[in-house]
Amino acid sequence: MARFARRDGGYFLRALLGIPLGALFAVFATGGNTLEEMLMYLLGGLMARQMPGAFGFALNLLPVLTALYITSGAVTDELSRFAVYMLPRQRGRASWLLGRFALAFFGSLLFYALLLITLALGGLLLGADHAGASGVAQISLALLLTAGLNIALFAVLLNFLKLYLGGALAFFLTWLAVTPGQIAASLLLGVAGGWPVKLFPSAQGILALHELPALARALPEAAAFALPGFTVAFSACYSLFAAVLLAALGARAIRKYDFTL
Amino acid sequence: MDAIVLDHVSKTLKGRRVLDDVCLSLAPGGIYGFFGRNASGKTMLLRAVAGLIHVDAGEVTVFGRRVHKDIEYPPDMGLVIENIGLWGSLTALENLRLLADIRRVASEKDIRAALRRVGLAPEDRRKYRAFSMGMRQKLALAQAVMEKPRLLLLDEPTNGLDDEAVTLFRALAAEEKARGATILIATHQKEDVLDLCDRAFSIGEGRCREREVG
Repeated sequence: MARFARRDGGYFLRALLGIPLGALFAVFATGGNTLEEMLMYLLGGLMARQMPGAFGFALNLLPVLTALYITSGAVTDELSRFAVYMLPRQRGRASWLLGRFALAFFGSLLFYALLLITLALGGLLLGADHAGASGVAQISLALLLTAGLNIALFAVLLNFLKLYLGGALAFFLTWLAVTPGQIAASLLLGVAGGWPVKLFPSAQGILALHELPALARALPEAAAFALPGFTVAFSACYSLFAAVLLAALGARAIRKYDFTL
Repeated sequence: MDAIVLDHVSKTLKGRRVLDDVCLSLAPGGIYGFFGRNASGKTMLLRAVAGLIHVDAGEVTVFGRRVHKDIEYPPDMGLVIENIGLWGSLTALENLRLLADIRRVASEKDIRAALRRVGLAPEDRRKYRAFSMGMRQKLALAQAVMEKPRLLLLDEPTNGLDDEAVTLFRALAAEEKARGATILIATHQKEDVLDLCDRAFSIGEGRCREREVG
């Protein structure tokens, strides 16, 4: 397994190159005025305000997804090119896939954390306004578990699509699935008045509260609620459940897949 | 017990019948050749045995166990698939170590021996991406035999090999047979392997017909 860890580490190191890119995008997309806005952009709670319309949409989450495309390369390998040599050698395919998804999850989580820390340090150097940043940082830290999971989900979705559709189309469809998904979450929370945050404490949900002006006042409560304790425990259980579900679905998808190559 | 049984196996891909009611029984410990033009169905037949595709009708049984019913893939199988490469950033030895890490059946000694048997040097520090087509093919063969599998499925195993390497491959196949392995070879270069085969089959338009050897 040490050899796999070394190979996966290689993927992750390449993904780290996406961090300066992501930070630059965040500064560019938000105007670099406030640290809060930059952090929110990276967490997926803000669209690129400086560039309205399709281009702004395109920039949102693009750096993160690009880096995750590489981070999750370890899973991609097993699901595509090398699968014919690796899968028949595996005895417990479901548990093996669970391991791969766990890797994508923790890799994504670490990547996200490093991205936020880099931007915070960059914001300090740039002299960005720090008002409101501490609230976002609190939420960010408390919700990294679910944020990591969400990103891992996107990465896995991307890899499954890649297996069936090829790289470029898979990437486009995943991005398409993510951005409208955020908007739908925002609308849902807006309609529901914020209560789903308490049941589903995802970064997306809480940030969507912040995104909608009418619900902006809910942010302090959400931040208080998002402190470690119930939220982290819930997130951990949710992550575990989703990872097991993903592994089962992944094993089934591979079992049903025809390697016509 | 037969090593492999195909019972009225059919498969259609993109509207084309690639396997058409194929029936076949192969005894353990033999070398079986499947010959035909490109896209004749020989590769799909090997993939059906390997569990890499799902057949539309019929049943594939490997050593008494039904593929995709009792087992997902034959558990003790070496496989060479045409045009599937390995990790470009690793050397030959590192590639095999990575694959051997999954089952932990092949020792370091086995891995090095497998490389030498196909004419590759374990000490070679060149990365896979710098390999010639022939070297890649040799490495694919080495990964297939390193774990001493009971079943070997080789798709176009002599592709890209020069005469010397083909001779090495023939010796390798004979040694594997002597060890007791059941070997299925699909190729359009029948002159390379026909005389090695215990039985030979022609495949055309998904149909499989036995032909005389020699």
